Amino acid sequence: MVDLFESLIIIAPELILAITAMSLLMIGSFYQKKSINLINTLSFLTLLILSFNELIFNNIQIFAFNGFFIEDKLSSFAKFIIFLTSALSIIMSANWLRNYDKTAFEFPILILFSTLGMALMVSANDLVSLYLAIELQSLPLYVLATFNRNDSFSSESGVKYFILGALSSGLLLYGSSLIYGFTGTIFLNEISQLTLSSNQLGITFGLAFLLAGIVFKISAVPFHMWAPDVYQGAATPVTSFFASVPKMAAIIILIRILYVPFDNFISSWSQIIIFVSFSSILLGSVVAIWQKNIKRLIAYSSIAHMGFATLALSTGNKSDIESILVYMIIYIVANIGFFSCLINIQNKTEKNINNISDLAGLSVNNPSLAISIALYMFSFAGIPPLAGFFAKYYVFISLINEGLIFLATFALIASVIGAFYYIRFVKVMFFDEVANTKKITFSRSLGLINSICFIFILGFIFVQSVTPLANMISNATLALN
Amino acid sequence: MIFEIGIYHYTILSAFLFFTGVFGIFLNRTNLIIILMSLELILLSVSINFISFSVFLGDITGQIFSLFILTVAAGEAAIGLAILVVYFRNSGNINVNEINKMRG
Repeated sequence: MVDLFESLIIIAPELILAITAMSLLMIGSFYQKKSINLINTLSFLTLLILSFNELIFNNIQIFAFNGFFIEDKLSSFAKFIIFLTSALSIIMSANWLRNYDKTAFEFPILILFSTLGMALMVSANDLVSLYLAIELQSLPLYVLATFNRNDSFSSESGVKYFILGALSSGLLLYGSSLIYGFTGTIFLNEISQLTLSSNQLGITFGLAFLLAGIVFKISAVPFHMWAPDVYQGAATPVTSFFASVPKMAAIIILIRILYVPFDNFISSWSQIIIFVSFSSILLGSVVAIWQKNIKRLIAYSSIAHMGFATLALSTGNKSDIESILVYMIIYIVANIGFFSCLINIQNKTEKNINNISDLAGLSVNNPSLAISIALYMFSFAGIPPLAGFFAKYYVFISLINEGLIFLATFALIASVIGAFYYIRFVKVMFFDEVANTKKITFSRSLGLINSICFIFILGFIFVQSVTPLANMISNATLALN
Repeated sequence: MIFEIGIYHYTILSAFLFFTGVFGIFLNRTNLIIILMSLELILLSVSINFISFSVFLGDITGQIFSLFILTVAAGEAAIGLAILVVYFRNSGNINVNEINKMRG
């Protein structure tokens, strides 16, 4: 057991993040308009430094604050991804924010607070810290969804997100109260020792409610109805944040909840997970065919992707976590890349780009943008040399190794259906009649982010063999054994 | 006739309140404020659950948990009302039936 001082050192990254966010809030409220560039830069730098800090200093497994907080390879890896993607989101939103409102310094600060919540969430080791972290994560997200406050779509999406989000935390809380009542403890690692000797029915009920709360956060099917509306209504940089970072945190906490406290309950929860992933893939792939709005389509595509990611959980085998982590990284990188292109297009054109048909003629106006979007779409669809193929490949291999051939076949068919609407982007950009021929230039920061994502997606095999990524993922997988 | 009030009674009470809250959200077709009230009801029912379990287990953790829930509920209500005000400024009403700009 570690004492208070050592505990404070263990949570130093989160502490630094919290202090930075609060002091930037003070700076912002005193200097208003002058401070926005400073706040953007400082919050970006803090997140970048913290993400590399997670890369360098990570522990095997260590508990802080009497088991309230856990630091292991899985949480370090997740925090690395979360901090890095949040930092990228701040850069991606900078140009949009300058055009939208020069006094809106809250935007990067809200992202910082939400990131703090996600970092605490992936290291939560008891039900209290889990609940508090999830709330800290989602309260800034509700505000971010409403951020475009003169737009009626944005405020409507905020209302929907708030109501359903608060309902989902209520479900999560009810589940934790049942688990606490029937096992008598709130620590995740102690629950696993008590589950077999306690009332099975009560714990299964609690687990179902707890899962409902977390499944909402990853927007998988029974609780997906908020995602399309919120993605469509929120401002595009906010949508890009929603589609990438919180999903990573929620998937990690889903893995931790299933494999740490409910390790003995695989037969109960694998049914739930199979249903969730099966129906997410089906709905995400089929309903997206009729969508015209770009962000709405991306919402349905993200529902389908979350289905694929959770599919590897249904095997109940801890080593399959590896394929989930690979899937999530590739999904996040492709998402960031796609949104950097979309934000760039929206910043540089006067007329609103909302529907897929508005992208017509992009191959003439800016060929490199069109090629990048086409690449990300092919990667989402899973065309072989690109990263998206390997993501799906690892998931299918882990399903087939466990003998779940039926699920693998079904997911394969659904991904072929999904390819239809991804390839429609390519058709519209390259083959449709050109509506206007106004050149679109790349802004520097978005172009840089786009080229990094482009290289990652195009040369995933090469990236995997050169960088320590594969090693980190396998270490993170071993953390739960 | 006097009977002992046990853990089951509290659990049933809290389950009843919880599902009242959930159905309040889904069946309510008139006013957004009622939805906020239903959300509070959900959180309070969970608090009852925690406190009764805590008393019957002889363990203080549940009571501390319920204090945290009260604090978070206050923050959540504040943000909910702020979002409600922003929504009201844009649309001029808070009818649940008319929150349907986006669909499909």
